[in-house]
Amino acid sequence: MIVDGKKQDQAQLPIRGEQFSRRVFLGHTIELGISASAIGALLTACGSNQSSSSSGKVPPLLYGFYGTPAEISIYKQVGDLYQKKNPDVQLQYTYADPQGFFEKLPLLFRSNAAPDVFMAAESWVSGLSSLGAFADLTPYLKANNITEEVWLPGALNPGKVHGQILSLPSVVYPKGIAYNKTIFDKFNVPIPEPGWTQNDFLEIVQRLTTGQGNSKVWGMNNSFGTVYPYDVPTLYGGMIFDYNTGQMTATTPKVSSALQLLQDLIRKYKVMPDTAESQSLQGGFITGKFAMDIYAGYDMQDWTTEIGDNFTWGIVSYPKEWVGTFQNNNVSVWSQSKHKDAAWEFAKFIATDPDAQALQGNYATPALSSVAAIWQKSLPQAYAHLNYQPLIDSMGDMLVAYQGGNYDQVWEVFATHVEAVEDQGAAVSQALQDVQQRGEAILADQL
Amino acid sequence: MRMRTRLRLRRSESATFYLFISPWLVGFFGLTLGPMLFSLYASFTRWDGVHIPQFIGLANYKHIFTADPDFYPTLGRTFYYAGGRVILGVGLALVLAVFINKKIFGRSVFRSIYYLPTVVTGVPVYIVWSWMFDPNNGIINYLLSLVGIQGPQWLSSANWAMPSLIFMSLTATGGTIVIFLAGLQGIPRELHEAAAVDGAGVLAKFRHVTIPMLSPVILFNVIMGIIGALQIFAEPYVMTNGGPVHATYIYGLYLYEFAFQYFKLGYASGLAWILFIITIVLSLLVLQFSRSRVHYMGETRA
Repeated sequence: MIVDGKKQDQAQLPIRGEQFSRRVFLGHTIELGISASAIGALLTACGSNQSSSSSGKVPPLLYGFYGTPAEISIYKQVGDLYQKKNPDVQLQYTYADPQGFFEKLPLLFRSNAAPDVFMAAESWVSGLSSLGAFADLTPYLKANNITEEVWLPGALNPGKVHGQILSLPSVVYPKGIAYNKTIFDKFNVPIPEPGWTQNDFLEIVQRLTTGQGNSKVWGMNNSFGTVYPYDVPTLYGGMIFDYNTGQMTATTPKVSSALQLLQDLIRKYKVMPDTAESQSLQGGFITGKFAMDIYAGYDMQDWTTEIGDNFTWGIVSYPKEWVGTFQNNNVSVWSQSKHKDAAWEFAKFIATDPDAQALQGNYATPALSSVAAIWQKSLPQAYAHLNYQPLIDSMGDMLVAYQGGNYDQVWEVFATHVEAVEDQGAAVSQALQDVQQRGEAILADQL
Repeated sequence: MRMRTRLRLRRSESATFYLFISPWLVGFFGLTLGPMLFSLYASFTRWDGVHIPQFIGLANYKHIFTADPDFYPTLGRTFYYAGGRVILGVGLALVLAVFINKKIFGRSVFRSIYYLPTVVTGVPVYIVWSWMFDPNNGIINYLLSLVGIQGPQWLSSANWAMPSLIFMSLTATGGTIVIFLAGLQGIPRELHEAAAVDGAGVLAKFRHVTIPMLSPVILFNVIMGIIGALQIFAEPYVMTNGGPVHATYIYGLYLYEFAFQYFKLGYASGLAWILFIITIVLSLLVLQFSRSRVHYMGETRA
């Protein structure tokens, strides 16, 4: 599951300008421990009013977030900046690792101890919204004359749920294709340019799949997802269900064609490993055994560090026929917050203040268009080879893979069938019909 | 006077008893029984963990037994794992315990080595195991290749993933071995000597003396093994996430997903109670079966 807007297996992201020393690590570990204790205390209090702990005139806001120690440090810096700019505001922090935070949020909602302002991955918003935990921010946006255009194309989409706006984008993770330039050069294959087509892609992956056994180089890595296959049905813009109507759409031509392409890449063209082989080829693109792979913004620091001088690489937008999924982080206001107006002001600060956005640019692409426009120029030289603009330009068309509740169950069923199609050669049409039937039963289920 | 002293002593002993047992009692009533009873109630409700539970009677159970296509396959996979782990695990532990019980050089070192995996356990161990099972770079297939065997895909293969988990569980039988060792050392030496006088060989002594005398310990280990194996969760969660193609999608994962990913805590509570009842029934069946097989020292049979 993508619980935090990024793949869970990503390693820690070092913050620019901060050496990730043992002391820093220990410090963050202690902070995480304290945070966990704080969450435990909140759960024990079960129903207590956090504002009762206030000693000042203005009650403190509880701000909840998650991530690696590096990301948590950034979130705290943003909070500290807000308090510096607004001396009358007092923030309290609560945080955890992504999976832990995602699992605790429902309990915090239930115990009336949820953060007034909290971060949520794009995939959480839809699921957690069914618990009634998100305040509708539409009136606040209207009152403040904030329109969707202030953010990057599509950035607000994850927050739009059933006609309401439940979250504001804080950062985005542009997605596209990473290519191993060293392999391309070795075989005199031109580097793909924005606007390239699926036919170009197919030609390249076939030319660049070479060797046998341990020395085999694959044309493409299988990062479309099997355990969490959100990028499979969305490849051509399809989706296995319609989130707004609650209807299953797994057998539509777009979904069918996408799954067929992936099966062909594995079984017909033999240019991409199946699930079993993927698991045995641990490490993916950074191992240098793949000419291409799916790239997301959150890979930037890890890949750059781990690849080092082993080979040269770059990124390009998807072939023009492809669509794919959108991933980002969002800030939301708890629907039961007793300080909703104050919470909104802080949420607005996170999502629209240029200084706050620049700070968040230390670990991802800022969602605010004006800051994003200068963000890449401010990146260290180590990332100069990554041309983000074509990826950012294509984000507006990307789809949000809604998850949570019954939809997670449907994804689980789909995942199993994707594995069967890819690894065992199951018929695509039969697999999707099964998904359709199972999905209909799950979405109709009222238990 | 003597009577009064005895009474005072008894009261003092009772007070000490309750003093020592009170932490467990507080824990049991406060942290175990309460949540258990609530989960029993929750299993008759539709509950997402946030809103007020809505009573729906037996609907969760009816759906589990009649309309959930994953219930029986998941249960089957869990039995498969539990059967393999308990039968092979208890058998291996018994054999190893018998060998370690011999007066051989370095016996205590062997005991420590076999017990070590039980001490060092949890997620880090599972991650290391998944590296060892790596078909291309793992040490297991490397060792197999040295003797000319091409190892399987292990965790990446739908056929091999579950046997891999069972195989891994066999390395953590240290606790069972220790219990067997205690049992073996409680068998009176005279019984073996008498059997030897009657002409019994090593195998005959093992079969007709060791096994019957150890049967209560075997019974204990089997029941504890069943309970532990049916509750397996962390290993597939960390190593396979239920895959490939649901090959290791066992009951614990299934229950977890309903509770914490699908927000169906009422349904998950029903699943948990079914597992609880299955565990009790299996334990009772083993106990029933054991009546004619287990021998307690000093016991006389009609």
